Amino acid sequence: MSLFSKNRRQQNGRRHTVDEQTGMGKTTGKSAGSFVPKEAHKDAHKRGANRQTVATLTLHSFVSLHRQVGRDALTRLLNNPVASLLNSLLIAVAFSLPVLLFVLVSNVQVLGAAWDGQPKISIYLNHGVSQKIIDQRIADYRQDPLIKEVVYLSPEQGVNDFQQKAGLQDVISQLGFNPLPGVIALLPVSEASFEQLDDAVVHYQQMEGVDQVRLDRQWVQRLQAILTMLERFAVMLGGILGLTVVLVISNTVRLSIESRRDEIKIISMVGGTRGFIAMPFIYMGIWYGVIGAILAQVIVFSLLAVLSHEMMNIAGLYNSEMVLSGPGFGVLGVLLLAGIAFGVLGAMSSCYRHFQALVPD
Amino acid sequence: MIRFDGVSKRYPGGHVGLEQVSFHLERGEIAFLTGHSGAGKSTLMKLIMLLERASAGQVWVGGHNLRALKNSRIPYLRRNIGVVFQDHQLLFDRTVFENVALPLLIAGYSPSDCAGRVRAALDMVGLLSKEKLLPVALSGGEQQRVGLARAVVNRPALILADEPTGNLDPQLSTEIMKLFENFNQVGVTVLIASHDLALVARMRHRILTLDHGRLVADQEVQ
Ligand SMILES: Nc1ncnc2c1ncn2[C@@H]1O[C@H](COP(=O)(O)OP(=O)(O)O)[C@@H](O)[C@H]1O
Ligand SMILES: [Mg+2]
Repeated sequence: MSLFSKNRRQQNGRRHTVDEQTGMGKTTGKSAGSFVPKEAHKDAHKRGANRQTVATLTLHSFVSLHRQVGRDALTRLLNNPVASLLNSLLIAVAFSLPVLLFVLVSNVQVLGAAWDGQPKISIYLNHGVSQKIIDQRIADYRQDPLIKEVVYLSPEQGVNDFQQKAGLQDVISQLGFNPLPGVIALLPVSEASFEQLDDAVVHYQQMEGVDQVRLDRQWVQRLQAILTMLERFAVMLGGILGLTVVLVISNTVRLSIESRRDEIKIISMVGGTRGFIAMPFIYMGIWYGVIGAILAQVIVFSLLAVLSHEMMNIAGLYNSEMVLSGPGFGVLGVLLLAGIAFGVLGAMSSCYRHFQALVPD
Repeated sequence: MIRFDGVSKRYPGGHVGLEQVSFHLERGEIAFLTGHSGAGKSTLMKLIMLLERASAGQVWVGGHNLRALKNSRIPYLRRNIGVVFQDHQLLFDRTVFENVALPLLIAGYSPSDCAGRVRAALDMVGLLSKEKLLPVALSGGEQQRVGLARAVVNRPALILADEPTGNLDPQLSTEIMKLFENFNQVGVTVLIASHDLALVARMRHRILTLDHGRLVADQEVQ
């Protein structure tokens, strides 16, 4: 509507005139307002200059308006700390579950990758197999060009090792027998491909005195498959809980819209657009998303601090170097962005549904 | 400024708000709208602001046919109309100053640019000293004047007042009416709905009378 842009320019054109500053009561016929075409013509020559004023004014007022609305929205949340905290915690829990899962998966993955580098073959011997056959097998493996190193671990050594690492005493006298078989551990040459190793496993399996052959790689592959699945699960969980966050924010915003019905009606009546009216609610959504994301990080880090102690114990038991690493800055950034995005989404969906009756579209 | 051509408004459920109303209010005119309670005064005001749309007929405001005005343009129409209601419709969690500044913020003025205009408007209704108070700290008449300041702060071409003196005593009512006359003297078009016939008669302006939704009298200034 040209009418209204005319009005704007006119107003800005008069920003610094005397009647502006001394009060409208003293104005002359000049201030009859925007529906008066004569006025607009009279100011027409000023328009070139005014257009610039309008542009800078708009940017300036845009920024300060947003700053004020954002601050007001935060103040509203802080004025009602218990309800706000409960809502934020709900959002934070929804955020932290998939992040925790993701962090754990990626930690175990690191562990798996370390195993992956040096495949090992373990030959489990039959119980009570003779020393002669054991020596034969050891000799066989020493000759195999695929194998770099052969270590024999007798059942007695195995039990001693286990007792030390697990901090147990006298397993044999408690059980009445030694449950462990003799094991020959083979370290393949680093050039050995997995096809070659798989073939070797089949071959070794048929040798006399051999109960079971295990290639570490199989464990790693299986672990990897499980981890991939868990990772997908974390993403799916993230999707579902993301939707939950949107719904929580949407519902909170709905309650706020209902409690501010009169205000919405008044602002609409004096010419507020939907966008203007929605702004405080969208900022409310953003604040909830951001606070929820920050709280989620606190939760994740606290839980990891507790968990990493446990993890150290397990890692020590398995004699591997393992340090639990938290989520990186990338994950934290994504969490914040997701908080903002979900906040905007939840608030906008709520505004869209509940403004229908209050504000013309 | 305002032209009604055979305008009818029927509410859902068959309630008649207005029935075949036609009149023309010139730019710069001031007029009263009277009639019994339920005669359709508020309905007529709502049609001008597009709080409701007419069921039949044409409403023209400022040269625009409101039937052709898209919903998305309604806010811009309303920025050119200052409204005052009986229940002063103030935001009670904001100061007097912030209430009056609202239309300017909406129109895109930065808070610092608003100050001069807001003070000018408050000065005019005699409330400059109370700008920092919350509306609850004001009397009914003062609250009504805050509503009036808010209505004029953006220098609208048209002021609509629906029962602006509804629950004020006669002296306060006359004061408020004087303020409307002041605006009219600087060229603003003013339409005031009131069922206070004695007050309306005293003011000696054009009077439109509604009865059960029909315009039954249109008396020019005596
Ligand atoms: N939202 C509404 N829904 C149904 N009927 C309404 C509505 N608003 C007003 N009316 C009816 O329209 C008629 C005129 O009402 P109104 O314009 O408020 O009269 P006045 O302001 O003169 O008292 C009344 O009969 C009233 O019941
Ligand atoms: Mg009424």
